[in-house]
Amino acid sequence: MKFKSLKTRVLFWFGSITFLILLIFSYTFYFLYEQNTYYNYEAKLKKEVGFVKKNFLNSLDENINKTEFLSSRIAIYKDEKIFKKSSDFKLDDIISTLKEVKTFSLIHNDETLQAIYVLQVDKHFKRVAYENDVDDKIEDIIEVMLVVEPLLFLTLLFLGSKLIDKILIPINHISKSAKKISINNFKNTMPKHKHNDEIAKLIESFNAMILRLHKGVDNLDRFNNDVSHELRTPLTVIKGEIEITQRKIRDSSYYINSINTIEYEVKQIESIIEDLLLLTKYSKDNIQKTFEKTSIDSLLLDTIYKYDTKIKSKNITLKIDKIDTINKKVNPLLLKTIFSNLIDNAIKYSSNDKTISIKLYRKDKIHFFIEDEGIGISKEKLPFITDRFYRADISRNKTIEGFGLGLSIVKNSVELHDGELKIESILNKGTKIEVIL
Amino acid sequence: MKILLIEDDFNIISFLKRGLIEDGHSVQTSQDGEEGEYLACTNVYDLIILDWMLPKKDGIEVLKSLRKKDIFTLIIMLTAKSEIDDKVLGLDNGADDYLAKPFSYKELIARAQALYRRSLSQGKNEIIIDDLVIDLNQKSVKINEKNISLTLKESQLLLFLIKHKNTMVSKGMIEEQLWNNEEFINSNVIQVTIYNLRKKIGKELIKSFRGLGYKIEI
Repeated sequence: MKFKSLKTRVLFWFGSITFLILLIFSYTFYFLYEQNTYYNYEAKLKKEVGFVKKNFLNSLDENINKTEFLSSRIAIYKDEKIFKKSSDFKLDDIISTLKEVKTFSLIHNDETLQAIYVLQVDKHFKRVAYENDVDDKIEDIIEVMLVVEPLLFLTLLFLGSKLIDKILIPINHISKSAKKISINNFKNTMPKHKHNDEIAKLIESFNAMILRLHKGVDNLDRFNNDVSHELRTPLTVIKGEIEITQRKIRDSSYYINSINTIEYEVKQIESIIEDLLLLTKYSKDNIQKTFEKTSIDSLLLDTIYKYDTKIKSKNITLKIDKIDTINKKVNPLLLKTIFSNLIDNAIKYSSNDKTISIKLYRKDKIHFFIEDEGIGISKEKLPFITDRFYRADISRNKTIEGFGLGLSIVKNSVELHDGELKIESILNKGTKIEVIL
Repeated sequence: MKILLIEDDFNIISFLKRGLIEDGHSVQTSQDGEEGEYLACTNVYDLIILDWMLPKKDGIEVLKSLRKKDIFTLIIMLTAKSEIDDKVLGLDNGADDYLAKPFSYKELIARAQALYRRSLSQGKNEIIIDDLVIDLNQKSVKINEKNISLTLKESQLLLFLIKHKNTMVSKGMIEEQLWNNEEFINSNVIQVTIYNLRKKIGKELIKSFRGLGYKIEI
């Protein structure tokens, strides 16, 4: 069965269960009561029989109406044994039969005693106890039950409905506050619950979830802002350069400069997009397929060689402490990205004539060390430097190239290899980075 | 117009400066917030084009401290941020206009001129001084319904004098305003421009004070 509201559903089940319980209860009660009544009645009759037997009767009712026996089966007992049953004699002979017995009789149907009559010798009988007393009582009980139970059922339903309402109050409350929360509005968390109960826990988990979502959306917002900022700047140049150049016929050197500028900015856009793709292309699920056996030492040496001119132009001393021969299954592109980003950063943030030292060795795991004597990173900024587009320099200083994606890519790549990235840095002293794979 | 351009991206400065100079404006540039603010405090500009994200001191901080120092030069903010909240933040802190990157140069210059015009004539498109009618949209000047053709420098000079009406304007101020600081300029050129302008619109309007400068009295 489908109910739209939780309340009707719960009420339906509550009602059904209550109804069932009432039914079982009434039946059991009725059954036990009936049994008990008959039992008591028989016990009473038997006691009466004993009593009558003992004190033989002096005064008996003379006006017994023999038609009273018409509707009942009759048995005549003598010394507590059936002397004669109704099938053994015609009702007409009752009196004569009873006369035969002389003492007293019990009237009995198939199962229970119905009544007890006592005989006065040569005269008539007196009724001592009668079955209808019992039936009346049972019928009374049935009547009471028929009236009381529906009333009880309705009362229970009503109380149940009130109870459900009470339980639903905080839930409705939660649903109201949840409606106020949207992507654009994470300011409201849910108000705290008065009692420290399940609802309070529910609200707590909701609030924790809201907080997590808030952080996630904030991150996404910042990421979007950063992407758009990084893309907008080169776009502005391209758009403006074209607009200004097109205003009139220029000489050829003007066009050459203009096109060179545009080319530079297009390359900027291209590398932002490539970096972003690199960040999102691989995941834990698909990275294993791209692993191939790679000579890590030669990959590192190749990368170092690529930066040779940059190192020489800044007159930086490159100290290679140790490079072990290591072969391992990795994603070569990502590993190369790790090396080139870290080396590039070390060069970029080192001033002239400084030293950069590099180490690669195997000790259980693969360790790659790079240490520079560059500008370093302050303690407060250290936790954020692997965030996308984060640059420790707030102004995003244009004199140092880059979008702030480098370390984020490094961290992502290391994590995809189940590795570890450790960064230690002292402002204006230098940075030490270790990659463990 | 004399324009201060505070922007950290060299290529943006490059094309903006070329465009603005071609349009006859004089441009000074700065690539960081601190220097930009210093320039804005020590020189008189008609307009400051201010980027949001700047090294040393960001654009919004520069804007705030300039307004705090009672420098009410027209400021157009440029930014790669496009959130409405950012625009509101910029305008609330005293920016006169706001352009999101990537912007069109045409739009920037149109907005700049609209702001400048408003500062000259309280938003009217015409400035009328006695018989002289200057139409700021058509860029035409009429005396007694008769068209007068002015060179670019002459009309810039006229607007500059009108902007500083009733105050003495020295030859040095005119030089700084109309000619780019970097250009080599013969002081005769200024003299000739003033002479020609006075001849075209009448010597009564632009009064000359020997050794001090020039003045339009309204």
